[in-house]
Amino acid sequence: MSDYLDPNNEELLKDFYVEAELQVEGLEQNILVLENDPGNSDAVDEIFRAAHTLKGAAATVQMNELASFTHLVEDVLDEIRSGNISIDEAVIDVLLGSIDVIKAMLEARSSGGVYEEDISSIKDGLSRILEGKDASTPKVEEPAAKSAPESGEESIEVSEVTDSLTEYDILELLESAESGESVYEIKVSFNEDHPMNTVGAVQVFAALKGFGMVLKTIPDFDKLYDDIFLPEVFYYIAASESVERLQKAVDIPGAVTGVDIKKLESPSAAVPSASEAEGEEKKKPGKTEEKSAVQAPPLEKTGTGTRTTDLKKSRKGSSVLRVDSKRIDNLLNLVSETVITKATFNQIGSRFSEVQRDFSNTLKGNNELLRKLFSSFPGYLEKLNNGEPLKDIKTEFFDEFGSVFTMWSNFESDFKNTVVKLHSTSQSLARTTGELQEGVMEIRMVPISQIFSRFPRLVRDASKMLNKKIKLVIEGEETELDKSVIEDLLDPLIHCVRNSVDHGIESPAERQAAGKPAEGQVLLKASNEGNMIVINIEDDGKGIDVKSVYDKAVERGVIHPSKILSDIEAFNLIFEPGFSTAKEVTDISGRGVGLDVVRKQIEKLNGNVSVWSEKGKGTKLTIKIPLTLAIIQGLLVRVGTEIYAIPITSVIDSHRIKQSDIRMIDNYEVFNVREDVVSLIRLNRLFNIRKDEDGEYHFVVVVGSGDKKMGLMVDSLIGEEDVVIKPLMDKFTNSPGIAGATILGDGMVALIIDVSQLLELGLKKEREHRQHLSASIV
Amino acid sequence: MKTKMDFPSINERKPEGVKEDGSPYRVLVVDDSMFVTKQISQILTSEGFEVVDTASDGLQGLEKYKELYPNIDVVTMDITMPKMDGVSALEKIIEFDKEAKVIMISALGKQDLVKKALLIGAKNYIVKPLDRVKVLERIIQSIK
Repeated sequence: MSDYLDPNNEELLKDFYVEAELQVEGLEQNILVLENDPGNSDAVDEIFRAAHTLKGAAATVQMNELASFTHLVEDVLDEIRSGNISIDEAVIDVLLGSIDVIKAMLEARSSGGVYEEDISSIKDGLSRILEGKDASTPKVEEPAAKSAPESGEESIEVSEVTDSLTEYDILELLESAESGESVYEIKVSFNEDHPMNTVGAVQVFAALKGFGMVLKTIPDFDKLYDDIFLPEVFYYIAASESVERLQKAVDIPGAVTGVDIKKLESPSAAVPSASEAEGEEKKKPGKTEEKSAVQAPPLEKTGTGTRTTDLKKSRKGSSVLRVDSKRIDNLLNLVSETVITKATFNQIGSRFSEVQRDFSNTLKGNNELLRKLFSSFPGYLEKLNNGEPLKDIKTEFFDEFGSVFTMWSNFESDFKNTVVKLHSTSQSLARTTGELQEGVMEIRMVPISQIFSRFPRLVRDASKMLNKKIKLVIEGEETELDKSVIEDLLDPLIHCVRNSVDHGIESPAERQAAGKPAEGQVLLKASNEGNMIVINIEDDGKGIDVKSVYDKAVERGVIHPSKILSDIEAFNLIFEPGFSTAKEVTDISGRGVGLDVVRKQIEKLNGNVSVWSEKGKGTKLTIKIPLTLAIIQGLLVRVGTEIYAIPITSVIDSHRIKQSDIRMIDNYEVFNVREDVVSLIRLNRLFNIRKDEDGEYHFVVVVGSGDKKMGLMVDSLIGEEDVVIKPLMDKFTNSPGIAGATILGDGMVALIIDVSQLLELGLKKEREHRQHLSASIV
Repeated sequence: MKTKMDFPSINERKPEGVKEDGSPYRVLVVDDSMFVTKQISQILTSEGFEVVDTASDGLQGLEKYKELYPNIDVVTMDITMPKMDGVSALEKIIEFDKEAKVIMISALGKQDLVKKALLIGAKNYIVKPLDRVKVLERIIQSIK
């Protein structure tokens, strides 16, 4: 089809996928908008436009199955747009189903295959919608199935109209020509295989319009405008142009197969050609194009309606990063500043070599003088012995060697200047690199709407399946987040939202019985909080039942029956592995993977997740994650000769304690922080670093994740610094408690401590120890 | 010694997108699909045209045309676009410059819009999916 699109044109193909993804996303969002507001014509226009563009692009890249399916969808959308189909739930369902098919087709293509599943049921659904429309408003545009007979009818009409020109007609035509003009009869045959073969007739008309007055066409102009292919059309034009020029204007490559121009002179000449025309027209019904089903809507409907704000805008693609050009400009600016700084460094470098040359020269002079001093010493002694006055010798001595005091001063001031300059330049370099780092990070920032946009559909489908009424409210979707973080955030979020929909929100009946509105609400909200992003998933459902959680936990052996839990601790139990309070496993959530997976994934992102709930009122999950993963603020600590970085986000506080502050409970070292008792881990023992443990003072960094705390005992605190995280090679990742490594300013490697893993490690030990104890008591 | 001077290349063909004086024809591509814009640009630049600017909706297209005028030779105009559709943009461009050479780009199924555009003054139309030969043929025809 398209000889242009080389299958190896990777770049173009990549663009296609990016754009197709956007279109599909836009389609889905706007269909959901439509579901809530069926009268939203902007949304309909937007949907139609997206489907249309997708179809065109798919055909270009020769994804025929996609193009033809999208075409079918477009037919339905067209009918919706022209108001022939009213939107109801069934229509929305079929449309959403079609989008799933489109998605699957795209996916199959992008992984190199072709979608081959059976889509007849969804196709049936689409044509049912079309037919349904047909039954209610039979007269408006014909659907695919009906096009053939109807166009047949039409062409009969056409042939009725194409009466041959009577003598009178010809006379009339000739009369309407102004003096100096002749009337031409132009017979144009059109190519039926040309794309949009129905347009040619009008195109010729438009071309002729430039030369003179088009007096008449056979068939009538109105018929030219109809969407029916005409193999031949006669134009009658009054013009003063030469036949050659008319011929050239009319002969449109591709569309026109033949042109025959005659000058109309006398009535007798025109009659035969007119009857010939009639004959041509009579043949037409058989040839009439059968594909005319796709009719564009009435013109006025395709107006230039501007998009309203409630329309979901297209989202950014996921594999290709689209960056605001301002950010790039900013970066470029910074880079140019760095280049300038580099030039300054070069200058300073050459200044330094100058200064060094100066230094060696001065040193040489200095040495020479010293040598002279030593060699002339005996001479002076002799002079002194010879009784020359001391004063004279002194003067002579100063004249000779006095310069030794001043010879360095020049060098000194030069050296000082250069050093000052070096300092200021390195300072500006530090500033620029800081900004550069920020700028690059900013480039990776994408709005969280990229993943939030998936939830309306998810909640809709889930609530439908569960027969619940749920409204999803999304807030703060413009909040920006590192791209890599956003990708890893999707699964946990889906899990949480599903959880709210499935376990949180009650059925409408239950809700009404509890005096709540039948429609439940799930709030998905993102916001910035310093260097962290906070995501809340809040529902107004039944809340967490502390008692059932507790019972379940005991039953599953997650906690010991004797343990007394605060509410918060009980809520957090839902993050424990193998924990699900739902009575039965449903399709939506509770497939064996619980919220523990969510917590694990969030902690992998250096974030944490907490839960708060009030029985009967609702549950709120709060996920906090750092803006970016690549750079964190770390507290550097020293243990023996090693330096470790502790992510500052998990540091609660630090203390200096004496050996005597450490007490033993259950064979564990603990110490008191205000009212709390915090257990201690000696990092040197954990990491097997040999060192002297009997200092007078110890430094303890209290770290925590969620509601758990622990003190890490270190030798000294070095300070806070931005550390760039470098992942460790696979074979090292097994070492528990280490998240990665970083390179410090002096080139040393520091390991980054994984606090949540350490806590788990400590807890596990504690649990084992308890079990061991209770076993021994029994 | 330069071999080229001894053996004049007989296969050399003047690229179609270049005027008599050697300067390229200047094209404004108006299309809301980045993909199509890129494709048209690739086709045209390969034949020596210069794509001076692109616009992603009708309104922007109109503004850019006014901005570029008279240093613009051809406009390719998509029909279905947000903000202002291609036909309205065409109308406004023709209003501004009667001689404007605008070529409509349309997908199948938009016959009546194409017809309307042609009557308003579009020089020609191209049907998607775009085909290199056709695109060049139509554009060259309308400028010569």
